[in-house]
Amino acid sequence: MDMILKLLIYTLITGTVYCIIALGFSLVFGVAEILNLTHGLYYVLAGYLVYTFFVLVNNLYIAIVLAIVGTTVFGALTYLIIYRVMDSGFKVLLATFAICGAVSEILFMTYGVSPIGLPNIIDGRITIFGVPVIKQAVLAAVVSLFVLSVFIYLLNKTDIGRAMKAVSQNTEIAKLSGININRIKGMTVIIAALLASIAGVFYLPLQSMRPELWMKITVLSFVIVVLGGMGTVKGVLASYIIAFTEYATTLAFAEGSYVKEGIYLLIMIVILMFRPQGLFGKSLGPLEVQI
Amino acid sequence: MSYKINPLRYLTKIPKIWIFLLLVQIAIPVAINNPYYIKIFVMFYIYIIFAMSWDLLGGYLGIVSFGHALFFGVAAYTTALLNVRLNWPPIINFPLSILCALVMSLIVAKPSIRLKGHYLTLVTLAFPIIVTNVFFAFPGFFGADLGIPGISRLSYSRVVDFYIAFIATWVIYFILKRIISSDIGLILRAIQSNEVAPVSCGIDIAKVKLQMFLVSGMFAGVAGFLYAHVIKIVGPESLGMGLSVEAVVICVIGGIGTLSGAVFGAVVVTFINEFLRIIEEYRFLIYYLLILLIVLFFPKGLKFYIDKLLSFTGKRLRGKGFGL
Repeated sequence: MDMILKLLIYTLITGTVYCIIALGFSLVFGVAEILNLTHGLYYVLAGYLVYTFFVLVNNLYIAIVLAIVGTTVFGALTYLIIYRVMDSGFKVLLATFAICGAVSEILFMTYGVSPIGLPNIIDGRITIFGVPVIKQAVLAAVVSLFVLSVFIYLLNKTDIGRAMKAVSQNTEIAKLSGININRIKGMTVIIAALLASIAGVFYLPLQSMRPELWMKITVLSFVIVVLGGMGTVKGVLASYIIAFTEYATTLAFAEGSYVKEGIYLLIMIVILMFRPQGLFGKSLGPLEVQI
Repeated sequence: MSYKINPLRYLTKIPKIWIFLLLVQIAIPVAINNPYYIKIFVMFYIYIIFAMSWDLLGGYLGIVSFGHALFFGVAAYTTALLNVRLNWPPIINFPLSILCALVMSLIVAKPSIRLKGHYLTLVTLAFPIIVTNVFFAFPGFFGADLGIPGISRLSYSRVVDFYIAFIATWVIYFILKRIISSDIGLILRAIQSNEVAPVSCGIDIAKVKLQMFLVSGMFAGVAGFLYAHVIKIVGPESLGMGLSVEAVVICVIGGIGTLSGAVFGAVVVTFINEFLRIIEEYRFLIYYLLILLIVLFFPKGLKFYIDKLLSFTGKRLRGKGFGL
């Protein structure tokens, strides 16, 4: 019983953070129809920027704000490169992979290979239903939930949000309605960078920060989006499934922390074989089943 | 679907420049009597085999795989384990490691042939991670991070290694060339451009895709087998995404969907890998920046520019059978 409660609470906390990581990826996927591999890099870069600014200005709050701004600017810069190769999905994959590789190489050269621990914003633990939880994790989950609700509100109420939805539903009609497609796609990539950097700033203190973490985060958000169904905001709820699988395997085996990634990928492949449109995606017509 | 070919007649149709280049390569180990440089050439051939096997799927069938190193790595691990744990010689390990690569490509092909686009990318990306995790789950047997050191040599001397790799490369090249210039090659291009058209002609595209997966996985396995016995250590990076991307990069540099482009790409990548070791810490940075530059500015690949150059300067040479 105690175990199940622990599992549920950890799943809820981590799943919420994964939600905002995957939300940006899903959005870029739906609106710009590209696979942006740099998504994981935004997450990691935000952490390294916090570390750098913390060393420079010695104030964690200013460092966090600067890191989020810096990562968002970096997101805008990556869009300038993606924009040039957007005609083919394959080129986008290669170009974004190259960006990730180059930036993580630079991070390696600057900060060394050993993982860096980020300072917590609040230290200590609290007990929820008898389960001890690190306060920083609760803070990350609360911030994620807040950002998530603000974001969904803005997506439905503002012009840019509605334009994003329009572009993701039908690019041609959106163009005819006078929406600047490229501007909206750029905005989407920038918002994705913003969301990923917020998640990184609050959740990275709980992980060991290494430059190659970007790949894990990218694969993670990719899996969440595919499991949930492409281009659906509801689909990011699949992040709870992933978080649950991760904790369940970690608690079940001694070597669980090595194989957790493999296990959720296996689950994803099995689900894809039976429901190619994802768990929450709409069923496609008979001609479109081969996505 | 397939027509009979007379191998002798085909041999006489090989352009003269190819024969010249082959002769030059045969002379390499005699001319360069330095085991280090000969090893670089062997690695160069391994890259060519590996990239060509990717090109069959990525360039001709449109199955852009970002996990092609899986077949490479599985074959390498098979031969390494048999060699180190059981002391079996390479000649017995060869069919077994190819068999493992084939089984792996069957497993990957099963979900992949139904999918397209981003889903396909994810599935091909997922399998190597799963297999790597399995390796990490049993660190005693698979060696985890350190890999499996102490694999025996392919043959008793580097020069023989060189000729084995040389023969393997060009045999595989001509097999693949036959496949893509036969009717099946036509079907592959048809599938890449529009799947509905070949289906409506009564072609079982799932079967064709499965066959190509097996062929491609098999040749990647050959590359992995050679790699294990040349480098003599196999680690988890031999099925990582880095190596998979390397195959893609070789094909992109040389030109996607042109089998011989893999050769030009392999020249560039081998150069970066081996000759930039002097500036070791900047090697990967240069490599990634080069990928970015090529994707942004020269997406057509070297083969395109070389062909253009040849058609510009050497129309008369080409008429006499000197084309590439």
